[in-house]
Amino acid sequence: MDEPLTMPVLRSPTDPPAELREIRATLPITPLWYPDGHVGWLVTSHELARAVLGDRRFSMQPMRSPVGEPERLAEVFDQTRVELGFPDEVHQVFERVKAQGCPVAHATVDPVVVDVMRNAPPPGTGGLIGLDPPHHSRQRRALAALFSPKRVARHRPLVEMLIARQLGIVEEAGPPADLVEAFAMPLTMSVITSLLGAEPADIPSFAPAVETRQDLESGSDAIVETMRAFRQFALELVLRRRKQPGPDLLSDLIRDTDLDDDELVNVVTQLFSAGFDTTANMLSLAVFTLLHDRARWVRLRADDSLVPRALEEILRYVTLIQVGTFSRTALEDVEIGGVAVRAGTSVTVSLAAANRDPLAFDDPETLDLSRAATGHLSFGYGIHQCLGQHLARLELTAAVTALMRRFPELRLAAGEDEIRFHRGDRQTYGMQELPVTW
Amino acid sequence: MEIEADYDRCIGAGMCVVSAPQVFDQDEDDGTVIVLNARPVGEDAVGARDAVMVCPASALAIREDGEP
Repeated sequence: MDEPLTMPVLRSPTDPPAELREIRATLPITPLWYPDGHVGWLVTSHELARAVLGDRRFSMQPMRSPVGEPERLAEVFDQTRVELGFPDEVHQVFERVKAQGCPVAHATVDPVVVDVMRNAPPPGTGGLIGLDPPHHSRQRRALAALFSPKRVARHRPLVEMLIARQLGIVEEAGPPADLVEAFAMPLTMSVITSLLGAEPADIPSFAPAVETRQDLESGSDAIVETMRAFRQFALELVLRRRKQPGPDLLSDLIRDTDLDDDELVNVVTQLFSAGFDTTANMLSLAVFTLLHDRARWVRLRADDSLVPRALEEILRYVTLIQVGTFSRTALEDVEIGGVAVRAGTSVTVSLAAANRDPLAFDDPETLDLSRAATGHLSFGYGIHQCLGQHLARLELTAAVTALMRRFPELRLAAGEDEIRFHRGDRQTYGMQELPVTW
Repeated sequence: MEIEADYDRCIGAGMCVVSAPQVFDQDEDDGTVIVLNARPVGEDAVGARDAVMVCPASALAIREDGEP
């Protein structure tokens, strides 16, 4: 067998790492080295990506990341396991690992801990994304109706109002502008706060926790501290809305489901975490993609009924969730693409590589805004597919359309080389700034 | 063709409604799929085939006429 790969992370602004192309063409499932020393698999073809993500013989636990330092997140687990109420057997594993002088990350992949995380996580730990059925199924069902295309469409007036307000601020300040700081971030934050019945003043209670967790340089103390403040805020918000329901999604959730306060805190933290950084980065990249080759912008501006389809293609082409942080682990021996994936072995799926698979999309390396990108995997696949995908589509479509109407002459104010993008090993790709003028 | 839905597998992702709004709807309470028209024709049939392909939970299947 060849030497296991390390996860390719060097990318250009709109293209995933170039090595993925050759890996997919030669070995669509190939051995992958994980930072905790584990050797698992990397999947790069569209067919096998769907096979893995759709197969319930794979667990979300222990969610080994193919990038980053496992020790950092393990320390967060270690520092919070008592207050989160994990059962005794989890504490025993951590104490044993530490007594042996092993890295604490060993505890998080211990079968006893993995079993607790996937079968009986204490109330108030982990989000939907870390759960397996049947726990996952119950919580997902409680949320699914609130995020259906029809229910999400009801929020369109609110989203359009928030967009208009934010663009008004941008216009008043005058050119040039950084659309990340002046538009994408404040907009997506205000959408999620409004939907969850929070106030703009609450943003400092959750935004730092999300950014700190994404930042690969953050220490475990900073993560623990911001997470505690975040959970405290989420609990206060749940109690506030329980006492005084409003016209928001959290009030609906409290009224319509049997989720208890701990579960609601989980849901709230997860919705905030997944709800603005992703959409803001995708919006920035979409606007960058359109302005970078300005003929695209001009064409869509002339007929904005083309925007939804164009955005699906940009979602495919850019693929925001880039390094496959949400790895799956085989619960039993599973055959994938002629390879025996042994029980306990982790598999990382490169959504970006799958989205450029020539067997799934004609001429996949070409951004073709008029193609039907149906079947792209940018929101994932399987039972963990993005819960908020229809909300994300609504926000993206409404924001790009409004931007084109209000600033038809919008253009980049800096060259591609001068613009700061996120790192290729960040869970979510995106832009640190989007300098524009008009 | 006839559409078959596996209600236990369904996670209420709503991709079927996006693909073929005349063919599928979702339960107001838990988002589970509702098949409005199990034997779609024309454009609706095309959309229904897309829906089967993109369903993230593999909860939809098509039985072609003549198949057992």
